[in-house]
Amino acid sequence: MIRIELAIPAAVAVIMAAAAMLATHRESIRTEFITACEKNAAADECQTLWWNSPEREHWTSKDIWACWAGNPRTCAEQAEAEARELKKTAQ
Amino acid sequence: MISRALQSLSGVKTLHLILAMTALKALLFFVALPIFQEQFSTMYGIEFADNYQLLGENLAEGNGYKFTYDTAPTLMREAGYPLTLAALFSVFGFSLNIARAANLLFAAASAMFVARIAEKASGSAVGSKIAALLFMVHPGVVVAEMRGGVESLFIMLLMCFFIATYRALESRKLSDYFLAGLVLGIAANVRGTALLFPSFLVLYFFFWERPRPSLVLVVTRVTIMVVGSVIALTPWIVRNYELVGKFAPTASVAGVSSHAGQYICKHLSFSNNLVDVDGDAALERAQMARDQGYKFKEITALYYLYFFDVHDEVEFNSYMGKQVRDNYLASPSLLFGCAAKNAFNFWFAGKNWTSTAMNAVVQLPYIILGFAGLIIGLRGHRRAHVGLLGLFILYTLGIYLPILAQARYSVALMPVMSVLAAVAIMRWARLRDDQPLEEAGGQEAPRALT
Repeated sequence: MIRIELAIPAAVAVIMAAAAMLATHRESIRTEFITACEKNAAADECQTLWWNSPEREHWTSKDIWACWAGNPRTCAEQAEAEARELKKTAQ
Repeated sequence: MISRALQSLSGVKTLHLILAMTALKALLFFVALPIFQEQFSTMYGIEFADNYQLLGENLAEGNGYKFTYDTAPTLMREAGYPLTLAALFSVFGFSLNIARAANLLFAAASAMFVARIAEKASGSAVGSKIAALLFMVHPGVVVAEMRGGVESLFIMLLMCFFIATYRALESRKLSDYFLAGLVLGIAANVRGTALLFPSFLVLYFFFWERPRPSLVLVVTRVTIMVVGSVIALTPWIVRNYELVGKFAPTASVAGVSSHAGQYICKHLSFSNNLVDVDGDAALERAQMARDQGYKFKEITALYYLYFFDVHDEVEFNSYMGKQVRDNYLASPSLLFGCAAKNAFNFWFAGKNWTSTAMNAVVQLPYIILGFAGLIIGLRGHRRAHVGLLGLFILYTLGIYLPILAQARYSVALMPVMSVLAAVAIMRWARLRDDQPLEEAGGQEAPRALT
């Protein structure tokens, strides 16, 4: 007979372990990207744009992931749109 | 009349009762709450709490176990709840409602466990339903479910630990003590406050186990439980050791919490509010960190300091702990005064005095009935069942009173208080249903709650 008081914590532990493994995997991809960035002018430009963006705190990681996936244009467009928005707000 | 009302509960299945309550709460959370959210949030925190969502989001997005992408990994919070949030965010996307939905499930499971514990503690099937109901309708529990906070998951795991412990106490098998320890370790991954509770089992063995076990057996049982807990905590302990080279089985926040507690104790009065004083304490901590040369992220909301070096976070926490200890050593009466104030704060203190008054209205019936149930239970033949719950109350107060206490910390005790309140209500109503209350003489050892 299943002991529910043990089964539930076991299930919670499995979920936590899976989330930890996924997080570690994604973190390693990120590290790889940063390393690759240093060798790739376009990605480097993208990262710089992101880093210099006054609104970079509000960038979601999805935006950054888009850059990492090798689409620096998405990054640049996003940064420009934010700059325009900021200018408009300031005016 | 009350007896009749209680008797009418005997025709309702516990599962149906819990499902109906959960459905009602779902309506409240997802239909009514959005309308009243703004007014309600000035009194009670019903958003994500304690920045667990930042950790969950950063984990889900591959930024690591950090509050912000550009600060250091942290030890400030146990990883269990952020990992659970990360799993939810990965599947369903970032959302407070998904955290609330998960909380509803955790609370429903907790209510089932509360019912099982109460059935044995009160000796009554009706008592079990009363306890489940009392737990589910407690406003503090409901607010905790509305919030993206750690309480609901922690309570569910805590209830699992209680049932596993009851089984160990009944079977007296070392393997069951080990399993109970494992469950406690998983609960401690979510919140570390219960981790030292096995030491209190020594009192249980002394007062309530007959024949009284030998000292060697007591030490063996407690040690085996601790081993189980440590095994469940090993990933967190190893991670922390690799980061800072120190043994850190729980969150490194005790020093900061002690400072908040001492500051609130010194400055809270009827002319200000806890939420403001707590905020002032945070500003003082930030200034102290600057003065000590620690580098942290300067943001508007500085309640938690996000350091750029994890060693700074741990050192600053130790530094704060030392400051607080030194103050208490210089003035021991301050410690007793603060502990006494925390005894009040633990049950009642809210963001402001209005919410404190409202908390008192809600909590007092539970406290009165709960402690009445404890006394009744300890005098009855089910004193072993009830005694374990009493020890947990004592232990929890012992953890919080010297450090920091607010009413929301007492939410984790509400399942226990609900069980004890049900014991009192059943005695008061002199209701006897299918399982007579303490008719037979002699002391009864806990029976497994299956």
